[in-house]
Amino acid sequence: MTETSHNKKILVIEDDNSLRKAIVEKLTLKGFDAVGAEDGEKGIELSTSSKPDLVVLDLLMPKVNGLTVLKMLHAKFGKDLPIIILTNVEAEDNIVKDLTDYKATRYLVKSDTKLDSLVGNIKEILKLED
Amino acid sequence: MNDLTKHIIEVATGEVKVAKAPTHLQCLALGSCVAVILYDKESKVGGIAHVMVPSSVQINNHHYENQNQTKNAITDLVEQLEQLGADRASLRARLVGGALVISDVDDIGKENIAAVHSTLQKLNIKIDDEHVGGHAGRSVVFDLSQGQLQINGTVIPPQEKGGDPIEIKTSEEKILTGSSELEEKIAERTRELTERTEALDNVRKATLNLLEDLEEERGKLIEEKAKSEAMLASLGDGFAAADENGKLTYFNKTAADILGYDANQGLPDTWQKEYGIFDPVTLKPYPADQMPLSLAVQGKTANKIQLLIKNPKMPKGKFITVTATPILMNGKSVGGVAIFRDMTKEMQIDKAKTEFVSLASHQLRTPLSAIKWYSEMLLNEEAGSVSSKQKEYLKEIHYGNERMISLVNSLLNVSRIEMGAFAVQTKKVNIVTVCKELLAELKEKINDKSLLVKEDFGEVPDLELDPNYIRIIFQNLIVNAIKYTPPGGNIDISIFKQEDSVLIRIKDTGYGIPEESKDKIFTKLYRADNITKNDTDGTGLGLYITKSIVEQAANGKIWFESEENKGSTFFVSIPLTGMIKREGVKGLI
Repeated sequence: MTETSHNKKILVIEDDNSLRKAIVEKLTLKGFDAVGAEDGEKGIELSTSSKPDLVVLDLLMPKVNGLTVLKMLHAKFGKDLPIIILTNVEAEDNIVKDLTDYKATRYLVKSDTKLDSLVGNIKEILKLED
Repeated sequence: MNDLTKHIIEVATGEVKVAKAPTHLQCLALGSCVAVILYDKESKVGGIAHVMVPSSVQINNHHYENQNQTKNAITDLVEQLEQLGADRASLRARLVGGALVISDVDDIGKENIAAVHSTLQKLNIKIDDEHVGGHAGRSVVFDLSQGQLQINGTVIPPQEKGGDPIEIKTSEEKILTGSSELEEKIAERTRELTERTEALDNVRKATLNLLEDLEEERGKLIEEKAKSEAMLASLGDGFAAADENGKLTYFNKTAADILGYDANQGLPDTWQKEYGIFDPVTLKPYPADQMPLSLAVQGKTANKIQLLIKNPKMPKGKFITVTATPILMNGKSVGGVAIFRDMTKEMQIDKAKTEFVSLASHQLRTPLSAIKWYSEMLLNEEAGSVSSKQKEYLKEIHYGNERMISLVNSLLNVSRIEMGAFAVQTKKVNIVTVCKELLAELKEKINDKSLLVKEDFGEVPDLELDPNYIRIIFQNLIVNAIKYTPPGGNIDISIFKQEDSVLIRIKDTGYGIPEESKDKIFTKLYRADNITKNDTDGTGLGLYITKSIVEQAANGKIWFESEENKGSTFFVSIPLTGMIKREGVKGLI
C-alpha cells in the first residue's frame, strides 16, 4: 500500500525500537523517505547526512535528550526546519517554554495520537496534498 | 464620742424627745441653751448638740464667751455624723428651746436661737425655716436647786427612766418630751447604727474577700500564662504574635528555628523585610501588607498561605505554609497570631511523587502507544488484508488499549488533583465553540446509538479559560450522557450567559442516578449500581475530575438533578471572571 513518493525526507528520532519502527514503516507506507535514529546523538549525526525536510523528535532519550537535539538542529538548519515533538512526556511548563523559545512546530502526545493523525500533521506542515 | 452624739433621733418624725436624765439637762441649766438637732434624711442619721449661748453677762458667777463653744459643739457633732455616713451638704438642722436660767433676762432663747442660726449658716448647714425660732420665746427653766424643769411656765415633774414620755403641746405643734421614749429611740437608733456598722464591716470584709479573690485570679492568670507560653514554646509549629501595629510581640522557638532568627536577640520591627519572605512561585518579595500576619492584624484571616523564606541565616531557603487569625475584641482587631510549618520536606516529597507519576505514566504510555499504532496499522490493512473476524478481534484490542490509555490519563490527573494545585494556562476561549468541536468528534458515537442531540446555545462571551479543562468538562459530561442513555434517547445541551456566569446544562433521557447514589456520585472511583450493569468500562474518575476542575480551576459550581430511569441533568456554572492562571505545576491531560 505504498503511496506515491513525496521525496520528502523525514528523520524519526525515537529511542523505543518498537515505536520507531511503527513510525518509520507508516511513513514509508505513506510515501515518505523516512529514516530512524535510536538516540539524540545518532539523530544529529543522521541529520547531517540525510538533510531532512522534517524531524519527528522524542524528548526523553538517552545520551542527548530531545530538547538539546532540538536546539542543535535549529543551530544547524535554522528555525525553519519543521520539528514535531512526539512524546509521552507531559506538557511540563519548562518544556513548553523551551518549545516556545525554540519554536517546535507541533507538540503531540504519542498515546493520544493516531499514526494517521501524525501523517496528517506532517502533510499539513509540508503542504502536501492527501 | 460623747453621750449626746449617741442619742440618735428619728429625724423624720419631727418629734423632739428629751431624755429626762439630769446629766443631759445640766448643760441646759448652765445657761440659756438651744438644742440643735442635726439630721441627714438620706442616711437617716442625726444627733443632738445642746449648745449653751449665754447672752447673760454672768452665769453662776462665771462669765462666758461661748460663741466659740457653740461652733465647736456643732462642728464636733457634724464630724461625728459624717463618720456615721451623713452627707455634710445635706445635713439639716432644727433648733429647739431656749432656756431661761436667769429670771431677769427676757426671752434669752430667741437671742440664742439667732446666734446658733448664724453659727449653722457659717457651717453651711441648712436650717428648716419652720423651725428657726419656731420655739423661740418658749422658756425652759431647770431649777438645779429643786431639780425641777419648767417649760413655758409648766412644771414638768422628773420621770424615772422607762417611764411615760412627757408630752408638751404648743399652739404650733406637738412637742413630745419623754425621757424613756427618747431612750428607746436612742436604743433603737443605736441598734440601727450597730447594724449599719456591721453592714459596713461586712462590706469591708467582702471587699477584702474580693481583693483576695482578685489576687488568687491574678495568680491563676500568671500560671495560665506560664502554661500557655510553655505550650507555645514546645509547639512543633512556628508561632508568632503581633500587636495592632503589626509589631512582633511573641515568637516561639520553632518559629526561630524555621526563620533562622533567635527571638532572645529581640524581635525586629521590620520583620517583614528582615526574615526574607518571598512568593514561592514568582520568587519575588511578598508584599508586606499581604503577609498572613499583616492580614490578621488588619482583621482578616489567612489560610495556608505558602511562602518561601530566604535570608542570610537561611540561605538555602525554606518553604512554609502560614495560617493567621486576627485577635478580635468587640469585633475590632487588636493584633494577630500566625502558625507556620516548615513544608520543605513535604515539598520535596511532593516533587518526587510528581516526578514518579510523570515517569510512570511515560513508561506506561510507551507500550500502550505501540499497541495503539500497530493495531491501527493492522486495522487499516496496511500490513495486508485481515478477515472480518480478525478485524473484529483487532478492534477489541484497539478499544481495550484506548481504555487503558484513558485510565492512565485519569489516574495521572487524579494524582495531580490530590497533590494540590495543577497548572492552569488561560487564554480567551469560547465555551460554545469548544462544545461544538467536541460534539463533532463524538458524532460517530452519537449516531451509533441513534441519539438525538439538541443544541441550544445563547450568546456567550469569550472567557479567560484553560481550553483543555473546558474540553475535559464537556468530554466527561457528554460522554457520560451518551454512554448512559439507551439507544434512541435524547440529549439536550444548552449554554447560556447568566448575570455573572455561564451556565452549561446537559440533559439526557438515560438511566438516571439512583437516590442512594446521589451523594456519592462525585466521589473518586464511585460508580452507581445501575450503571455498572449497563456499562462495565467506566473508571469512576470522570465526575471526580470534572468536579475538581470546575471547583479548583474555575471557582465554579457543578450539580445535577436526576430521576432513575428518566434521566439526568448536569449543570455547570463557570464565573464570567474565568479561570485564574496558575504556574509552576503540571496541567491535567
